[in-house]
Amino acid sequence: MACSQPTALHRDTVFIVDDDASVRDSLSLMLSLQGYATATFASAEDFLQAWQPHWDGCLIADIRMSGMSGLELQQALRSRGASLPVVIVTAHGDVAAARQAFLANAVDFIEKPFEPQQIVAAIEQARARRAVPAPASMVSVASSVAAASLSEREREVLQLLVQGLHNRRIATELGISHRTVEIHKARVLEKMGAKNLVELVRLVQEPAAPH
Amino acid sequence: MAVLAFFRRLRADRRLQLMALAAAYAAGFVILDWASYIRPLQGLNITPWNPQPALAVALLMHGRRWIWLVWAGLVAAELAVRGIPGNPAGALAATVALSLTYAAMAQALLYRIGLAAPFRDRRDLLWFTAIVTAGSLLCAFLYILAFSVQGPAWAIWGAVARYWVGDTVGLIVTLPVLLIAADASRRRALAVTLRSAAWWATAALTCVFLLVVFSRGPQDYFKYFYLLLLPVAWASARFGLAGAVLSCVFTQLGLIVAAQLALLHELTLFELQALMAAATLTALLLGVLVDERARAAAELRNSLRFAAAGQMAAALAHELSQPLTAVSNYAQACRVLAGGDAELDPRRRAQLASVVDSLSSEAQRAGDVVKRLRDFFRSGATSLRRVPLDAVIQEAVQAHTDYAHRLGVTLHSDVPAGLPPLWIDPIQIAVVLRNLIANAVESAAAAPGGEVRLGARLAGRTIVTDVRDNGPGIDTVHLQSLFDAGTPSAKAGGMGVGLSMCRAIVEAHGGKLWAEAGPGGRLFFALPTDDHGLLPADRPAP
Repeated sequence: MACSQPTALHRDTVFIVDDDASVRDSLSLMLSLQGYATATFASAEDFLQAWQPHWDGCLIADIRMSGMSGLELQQALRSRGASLPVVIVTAHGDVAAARQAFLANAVDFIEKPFEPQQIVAAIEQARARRAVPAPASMVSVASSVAAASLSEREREVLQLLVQGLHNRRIATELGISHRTVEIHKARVLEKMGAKNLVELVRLVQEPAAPH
Repeated sequence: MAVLAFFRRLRADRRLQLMALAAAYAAGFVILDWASYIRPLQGLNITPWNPQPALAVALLMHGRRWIWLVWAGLVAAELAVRGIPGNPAGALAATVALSLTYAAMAQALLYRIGLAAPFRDRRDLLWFTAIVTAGSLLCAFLYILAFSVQGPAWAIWGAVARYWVGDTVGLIVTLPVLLIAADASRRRALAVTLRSAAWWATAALTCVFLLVVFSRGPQDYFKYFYLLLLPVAWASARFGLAGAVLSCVFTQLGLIVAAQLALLHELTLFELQALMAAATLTALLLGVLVDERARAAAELRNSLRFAAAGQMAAALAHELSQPLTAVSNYAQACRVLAGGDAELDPRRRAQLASVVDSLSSEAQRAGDVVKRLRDFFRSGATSLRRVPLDAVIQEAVQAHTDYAHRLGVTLHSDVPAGLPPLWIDPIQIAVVLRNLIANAVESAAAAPGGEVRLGARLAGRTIVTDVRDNGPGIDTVHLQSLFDAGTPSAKAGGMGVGLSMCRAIVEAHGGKLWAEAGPGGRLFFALPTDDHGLLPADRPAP
């Protein structure tokens, strides 16, 4: 089993599951130097095998791994009733994957290469979520206010965008031009205060399913 | 010396150039008229083949202002070929009317077809045919009118019909060659065709068939005329429009010479010329279609190449993001290690040094990916080397052994020793192999006891490599769409590039990649053992 675990897993461990050794090693080193306890696993299977129900902290999982993917791992943990907050990282971010991650209550969806601060912020967010179990966050309230300001067409575009459809497909679906979709998309991002599609997906999906 | 001085002046002096052009045109027009002045209809100077109007129309398409030259050419030809006409007023009226009609045809052709890349599609050809046949009919009427021909109606209509046929066939055969030769982008195709032995073979065949047609009695001329269509069709199919127009001109010349030698009756020649017009239009249509198809195929190849490049870029971007993530994590670690305390204790210093080492090795890894990217985009198959295929296969198999093992799949390779080395780009062929192996391993992992077998064998002048797995395989329905660029490729580890890209790479090597249906996945690719499949530009110097 290609994993390294601190001898005593205390309440606040960051579990890193990534099949790239360098990413695993560097992330673990960086986090441990900042005072986090870390444990690393080379595959989702390894992690599931070692997993104990009392483990607590935060799980950082890559999507694309040989064998089980990070999203599948997230589902497997949910089905076992684990409440471990999950941060998904990927070098191949697409809207469909982000949507799936957020639907399964992921804390964040971060695209590689990422800034170390992004990961730290996500871990802190996971901690905060654990402290306040019901995630009736400010974000969802703010986003529902923003969503109310969307026009009907913009809302339609938003619905299709977060389903992971490409611009061209949305254009045919709604019977409008490619360029018009681009304009609606830009407006939606602006009104919702999202920098990119992944953030948009998070804003739309987050109010769903209190765990 | 004097000649040289003249040419030097010609290059410098624009007015001299125009004068030279005018002289060349006039001489060409008179010579064509003289050469084609055969078998004139009695009383009227109507001949079965008039190529000279094509020259006039082509000139007028390049500038309306040349209409005076066209008129002067008509007058000069009249005087030079047929002497002082018996009806000077009628002849003068005819030359003016013809000049104006040629100008009208030139304008219509300019409007519908233009000078840049003429005969691009069937629409161009349709307009060309319509304008040329209508224009020649107008010429015929005006000519008969100018000479106020007397006689029974059937004789007048007969004269109109013959004039029409003679001009139409002259224009249809000659004008396309002139227009294509005047277009810089198409001229090269004409030159390539003329340099090709295959085209001269079709020309030789035309001569043979002309002999067959004309060696028999007049009753057989029409019976065997269709034979002449064969070499023309062949040239059109092989060389596109350039082959079509050249073969039509050649056949037309041969037909006229043969008719002269066979002392053909002029009525028969008119009828043969009508057939010639139909044959020419068929050949032009075929040529345009062949060119259109070749263009579509080239565009498809290009877009496939783009799709392949896009997939490659996505795969490499994915690979690049891993070391970059690590670099940024290590850099943050360095900041934490170095910051804070004024003095570094020896333990921290050692740790810092090791992190910096990792940092530089990750940067190196990112650099390697960039190098691969550059190698790939160093367009097509230019970095060919003579490499034994088994080495490339072994390397690809080794790279996947761990991966296969993790998925519970065994990987076998059976490559006989002594296969001839191949001219390939090892990086690109490795991409193909890795992709095929990754797909096979993933497909075999679906069932317990998964197996993937690689083999290679010599088959004629190719080496066929096969990748087989005992997974679910491909059914016949999906076989067709398997290589579509739009088909999402199976989730592939490592270099996640699609099969369409693999096929593009193999075809760029002059090879073939295909799949077979059946139980278990079966993918094959064949690579040539010699460099025949390569484009001349890609062929390595011996």
